[in-house]
Amino acid sequence: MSSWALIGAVLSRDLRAEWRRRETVLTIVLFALLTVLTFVFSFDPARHPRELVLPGTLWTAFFFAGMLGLNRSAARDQADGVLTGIAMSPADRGWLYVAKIISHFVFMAVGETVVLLLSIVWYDLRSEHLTGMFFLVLLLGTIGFLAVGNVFVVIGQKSRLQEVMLPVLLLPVLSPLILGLVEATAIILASGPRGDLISWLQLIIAFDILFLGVGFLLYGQTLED
Amino acid sequence: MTTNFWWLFAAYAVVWVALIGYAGVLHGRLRKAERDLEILKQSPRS
Amino acid sequence: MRKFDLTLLILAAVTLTALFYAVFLVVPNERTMGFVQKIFYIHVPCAWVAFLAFGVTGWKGFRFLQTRDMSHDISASASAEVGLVFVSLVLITGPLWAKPVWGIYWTWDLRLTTTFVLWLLFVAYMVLRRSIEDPERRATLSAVVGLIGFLDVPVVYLANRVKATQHPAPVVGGSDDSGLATGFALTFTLGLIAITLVYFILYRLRRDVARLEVATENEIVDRMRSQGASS
Repeated sequence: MSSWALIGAVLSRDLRAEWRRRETVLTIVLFALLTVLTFVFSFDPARHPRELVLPGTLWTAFFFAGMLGLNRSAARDQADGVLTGIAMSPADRGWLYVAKIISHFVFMAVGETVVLLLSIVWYDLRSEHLTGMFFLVLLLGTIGFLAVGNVFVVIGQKSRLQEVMLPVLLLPVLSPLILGLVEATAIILASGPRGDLISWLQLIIAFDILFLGVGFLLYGQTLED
Repeated sequence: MTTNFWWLFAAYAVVWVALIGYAGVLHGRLRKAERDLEILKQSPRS
Repeated sequence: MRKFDLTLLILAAVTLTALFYAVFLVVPNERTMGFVQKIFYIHVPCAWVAFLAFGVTGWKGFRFLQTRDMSHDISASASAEVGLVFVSLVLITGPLWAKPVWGIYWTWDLRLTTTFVLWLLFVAYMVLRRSIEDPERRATLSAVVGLIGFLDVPVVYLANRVKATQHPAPVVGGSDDSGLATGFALTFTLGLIAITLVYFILYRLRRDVARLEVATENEIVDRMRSQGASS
């Protein structure tokens, strides 16, 4: 089976399954909203400037919701016996990884959209903030999260601690990405001088490329039983 | 400057107690593991 | 005790004695920080060794994935445990140095943040290993985590360096590598050698323990199997 065909097959299967049950998307949307709500109560938007509070709020909401979503869908895959069902050569497993990233990206995009819409209402986020650069950072950040997250979620599910293992593994590794994303988002929202933004973008892109590559090569190892 | 002596002493003490203590624990485990293996190997395969 | 280990032990004892002599009797007190600065001679080497230990873990994990030879996994986990001890020591001695000199126990500067993340990576690795029963699976999955963690460390460093250049803040633990006078540099090198030797001794010791414990396990399994076959 060609790599495109494989990606297509897994992707359509995952998206169709999700369309039927909507567990993962629901988990992500719900939890992202609740996280933002918690931050609204923790840092009153009326008293704390948007540029200070919103970047951290957004990325925390996206990543924590994202982890729950990953766990939910991986547990579902385990229960359905999906990952073992597909007979694959070791080379193909990398493409399975790619397909998983794409499907989860779709799920997270839905969650992120809902949060952004709410932020327009709760934080007075305006169209001048929602620039191309803003969405680029959103895209790169989500990809980086999923690059490492998809590898670790499988590992976590195979340990005794299961869902608990994912944050323990993921958050330390993701810390430089989180730092970069929050800083970059803060610069974009502040609509001040953009000079520093380049360094952060370089860091984020480097992170994505590195861990997409490593994930692609190592994903197959996590599936072996 | 001598008032800071206790901080320095504490720091060095923590390091050496930890390292030597850890080495001691490992040494104990090594002896026990060697003994266990010896006993196991001596016993007949019934 | 094997000859190599005995040699290491003697070398370590010698360098450590020399180190203590140098630190407390030879090297003068540092200008700005005074007496407490002397912790630097073991604090920083512990940090370097912690990074070395994590490197060994990552490398051995990679070798395991290549060869499927369990001895690499044993080495990887031994180095991780010893490394955890050293990085914990860094995080304990750091605040003990910072408080009297800078008035604060901690700050999220470049070095401290990177070291703290390293600590978290060690802990994550150990927690993972403790929660997988099957040796083969444990070896494979922790090798993946170890490798990813190892590759992550320079990224953590770079990220925090970008942050440091954009939000300059007073550097805690200050100028320990700026304009090191000969006396300081020599003593520091001595400390580095001594602590590295201690790491190797502990690493080999931990590895030996693990090997024996695995051998005992295998022996038991072997006997149970042959017992089952004969009955």
